[in-house]
Amino acid sequence: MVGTTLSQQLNNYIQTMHEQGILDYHFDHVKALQNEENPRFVMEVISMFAHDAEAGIAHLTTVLNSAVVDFAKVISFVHQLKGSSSSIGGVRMALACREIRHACDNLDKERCLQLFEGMKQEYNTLKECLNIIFEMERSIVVANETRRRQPQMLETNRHQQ
Amino acid sequence: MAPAFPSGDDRADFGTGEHKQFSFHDIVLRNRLTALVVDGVDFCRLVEQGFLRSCGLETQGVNNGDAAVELIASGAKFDLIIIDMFLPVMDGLETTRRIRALGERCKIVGVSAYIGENDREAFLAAGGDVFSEKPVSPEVLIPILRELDGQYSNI
Repeated sequence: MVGTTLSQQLNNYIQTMHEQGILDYHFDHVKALQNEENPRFVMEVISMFAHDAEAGIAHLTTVLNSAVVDFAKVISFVHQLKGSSSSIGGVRMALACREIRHACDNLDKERCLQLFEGMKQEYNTLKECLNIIFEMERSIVVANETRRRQPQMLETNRHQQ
Repeated sequence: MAPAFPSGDDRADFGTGEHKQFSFHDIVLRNRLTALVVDGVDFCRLVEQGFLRSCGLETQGVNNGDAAVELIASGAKFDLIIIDMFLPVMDGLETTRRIRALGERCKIVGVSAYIGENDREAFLAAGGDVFSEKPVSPEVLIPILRELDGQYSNI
């Protein structure tokens, strides 16, 4: 859209994610922590979340594919995934984790496996959304850094003439 | 009117039937407040400390209950401790009990990604003050911080 800044585009995208139920207001709280002193905070948070989530999903894959499922371990990994996804505002992924926890309480391996597939899909959706936000944030950081350097470059050019 | 500690609902009911959404920037502290965050998940600890710092607190973070107890036992003082119930090594309940056994009387907020039927009661019985679903929201935290800061609540 002509005249729409990068920040406005980002805000519009986040609003769309809210409307689709992929992100909730917890993401806004996290985003509000970003400031001039820490302009890469959102990028840092997204990277950390993705790293932790993929490790958690890998652990769950191993445990759930065992002949005898250790439900205590499943609960442990799912608990961490729910905490992380809730904290970044990934409401649908968090709900999927909650369902797996219920299946664990019932010691239902088949249901766990079924719900785990669903949770992975929600994670992939969330990851795609967060990757787009990450790239938009990166573009904003680069644009701001370029803008800050421009007066210095103009001054340098002036001295050289 | 002194604020009642919130029950842990994300959107506090202020008696009017209305729900107000807070932001972590809705508070300006008059005093220096410190907080300890005890959370085994690095990402969650980063976010929780970030929220507290944005409210103006100085924070420290540890990733397990043993480290938290050692820190308190060494004489470190905090106005607020946020403890995740699901910790490696020693869980949040036991961590809370041991911190209280050391004579520490600061506010302790327990957080958990999943709240079971008796979890809140167990946490309060262990000596905790407020129990909340994770992530802790401004609606839960800000009234607590206002009281710690000696502010009159205007909610």
